[in-house]
Amino acid sequence: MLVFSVITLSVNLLIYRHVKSTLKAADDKELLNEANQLLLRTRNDPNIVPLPDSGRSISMHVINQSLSHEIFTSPNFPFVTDEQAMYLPIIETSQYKIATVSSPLNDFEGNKLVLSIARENDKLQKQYADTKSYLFIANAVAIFISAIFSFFVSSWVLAPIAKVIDSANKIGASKSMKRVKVPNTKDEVQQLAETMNNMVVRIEESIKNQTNFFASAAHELRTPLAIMQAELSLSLTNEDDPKRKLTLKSLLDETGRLSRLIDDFLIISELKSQTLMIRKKPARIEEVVYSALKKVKHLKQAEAGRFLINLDDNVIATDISFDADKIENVFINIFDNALKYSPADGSIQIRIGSDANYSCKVEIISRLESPVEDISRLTGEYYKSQAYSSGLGMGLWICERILKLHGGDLRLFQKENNFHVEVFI
Amino acid sequence: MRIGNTSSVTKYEVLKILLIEDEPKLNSFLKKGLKEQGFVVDAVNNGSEGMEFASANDYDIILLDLMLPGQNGFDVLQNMRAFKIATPVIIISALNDTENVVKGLDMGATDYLKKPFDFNELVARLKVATRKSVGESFSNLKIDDVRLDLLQRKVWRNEVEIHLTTREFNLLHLLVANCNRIITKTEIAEKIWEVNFDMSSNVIEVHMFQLRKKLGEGLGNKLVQTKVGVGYYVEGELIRS
Repeated sequence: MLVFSVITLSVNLLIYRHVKSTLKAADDKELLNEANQLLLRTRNDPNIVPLPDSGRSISMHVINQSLSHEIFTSPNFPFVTDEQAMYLPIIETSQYKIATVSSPLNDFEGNKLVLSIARENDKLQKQYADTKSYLFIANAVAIFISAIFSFFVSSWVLAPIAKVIDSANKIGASKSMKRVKVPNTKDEVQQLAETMNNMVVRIEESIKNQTNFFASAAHELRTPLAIMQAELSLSLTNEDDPKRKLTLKSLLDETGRLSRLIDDFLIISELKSQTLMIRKKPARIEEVVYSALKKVKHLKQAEAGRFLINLDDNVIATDISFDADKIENVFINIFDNALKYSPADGSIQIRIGSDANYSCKVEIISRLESPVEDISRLTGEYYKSQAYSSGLGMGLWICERILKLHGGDLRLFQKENNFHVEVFI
Repeated sequence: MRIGNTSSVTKYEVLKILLIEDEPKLNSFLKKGLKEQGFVVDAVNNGSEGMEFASANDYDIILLDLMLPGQNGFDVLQNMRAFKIATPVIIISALNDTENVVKGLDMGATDYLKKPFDFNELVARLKVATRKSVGESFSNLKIDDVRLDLLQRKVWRNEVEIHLTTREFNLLHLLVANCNRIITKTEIAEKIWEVNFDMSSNVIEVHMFQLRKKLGEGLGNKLVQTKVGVGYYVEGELIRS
C-alpha cells in the first residue's frame, strides 16, 4: 500500500509538472500573440498607440542600442525594477505576466519599437492550483479505493493463511494438542498447515516425554523415600536415647522435605507444560482445609493448636466444585508458610466465608515478625524475599497458578503487622 | 451424667493385615513396624500371591501397592471384588495423581495413602479403616426417634432419611454411641477432626448447628444437648441391633 502510494504520488507530481509547463507555454504563446497583434497595429509608427483589450496594459519604447525612449505606458502597467528583464520575451510573477515583442522602425537609424503587454497572472495561477487540487483529490481517491480493494483482495487471498493462524493460536501446550485444519488447496497454504501439524506432533511428543520423565522420576524417588520414612519412623518409635531420637527426627523431617520438593517439581513441570489436569468435583471447602491442616499438623505437631478457625454457616452448608487434591496442596503450602514465617506463639486465623464474585473465600491471617518487601513479587517464579529465603521460591507461584486454573485468585497483603492471604475459589 | 475422658467408640482387637508390596525393603520395614504395633501381618511381594492369600485367609485389612509385577494393584483390587472378597483395602502408592486416587477409591478401596508416608499416619489410617469394619458386633443404633445404620452410614429420624455429610454422621455417631455422657469439645476435635486446632474456633459449634438443623431440632424433640462451657451430649436409651 505504501509502495503504491509513493509511486502514485511521484507519477502525479511528474504529471503536474508537465501540465504546468504546458499551460505556461500556451499562456506565454497567447500573450506573445496578443503583443504581436498590437505591434502590427502600430504599423511601425511609434506615434500610433494601439488600444489593448480589457484587463491589459501596455508599454511602448523606442530603443536604439542601449538608449531607451518611452513612448507610452498605461497607468496600471506593472513596475519592473530590472531594466534588462524588461526586454525579455516573458516576465512572470505570481501577480502579473508581461510579454515583450519588438520590430525595427523604418527610419534607417536602427531604432526598434518595443511593445510590452501586461496582464494579471491569476488565471494561470488558478489553473495551476486547480490542476494541483484535481490531481491531489484523484490521488487520494485512488489511494483510498486501492486500499479498500487491496484489503478485500488480500483478505480473500490470505483467508486460508488466516485460518491456519487462527487454528495455530488456539493450540495450547498439552499432551493432546489441537491440530491446524489442513485445507485441500494443494499449495503453500496446505504445506504450511501440514508443517505446523508435524511441528505440533513433535511438541506433543516432547511434552509427553517431559511429563513422563517427571512422573517416572517422582515415582522412582518416592519409593526410596517411603523406605527411608518407614525405617526412620520405626527406629524413632523404638529409640530411647534422646540424642539419637533427635537425629532420627531431623532425618525424618528432611525426608518429608524431600518428598514435598519432589511433589513441587512434578507440579511445576505440569504447570509449565500446561498438562496439569484440574478435575473439579463438588466438595466442601472446610473439609479440604481440615485435611490440609492434618497434613501441616503432621509436619509441625506442636504448633497445630495455633490455628484459629472461623466458619461461615452458609459456606459450609454448600458444595463447591473444585479439584480437592490440588486445592488441598494450596492450603498446605499457605499454612506451612504461615507457620514458618510467623512468631512461634502467634495465632494463625483461618476465616472461611463467602464472596460476591467467587464461590468462597478463605482468608489466612498470621502475624509478621518483620514487614515483607515486594509483596507483589511473592507469587513470582523462583522469588525469595531476602528476609525469608528458604525453599524453592515457587510455593506461592504454584498456589496462584492452581487457583487461576480454577477461575479463582490469590491475593496477598499486609496490614498492621499481620500478613493476609486471601484464597478465592 | 459423666464427663468422658477418651474412651474409644469402638474397641480394637488384634488386627490381621495382608501387605502386598513388591519393594523388598519397604515390605520388610512395614511388616516389622506393624508387628511391633501389635498387628498380625502376612506380607507378599506380588499381586498373584496377594490374591491367593486374600482368598485363602480372612484379613481385617489389606495394604495394597499399585505398581506390582504381573498383576498390578488395580487388577488385584478388581479381582478381589470379583471374587467377593470384601476386606477393606488401603492403597499405598507412589502414583500420587488425583486420577489414580479416584480410580482406586472408585474400584472399592477404603483409603489411598500416598508414598512416602509417615508410619504413624499409616497406623492411624489402619485404625480408622478397621474401626468401620470390626469391633462392633452391631450395625444399628437407635436412640429416641433417631436411627443410625453404621454399615450404610445412613440416618433416619421418625423413619425419614436425613442426609448427613461424613463428618456430621461421625459427629452424631460419637454422641449417640456415648449417649448420656458429655463429650468435650477437645474430645470431639481429637476424634472427629483429628486436628488439635485452637479451641476458640467456632468449627464444632458451626458443624453442630448444621447437624441440629438437619435433624430438625428446631421442630421436634431436641436430641443433641449443650452443656455450656463443657461440651455436648445425647440423652436417652440406646438400643443396639
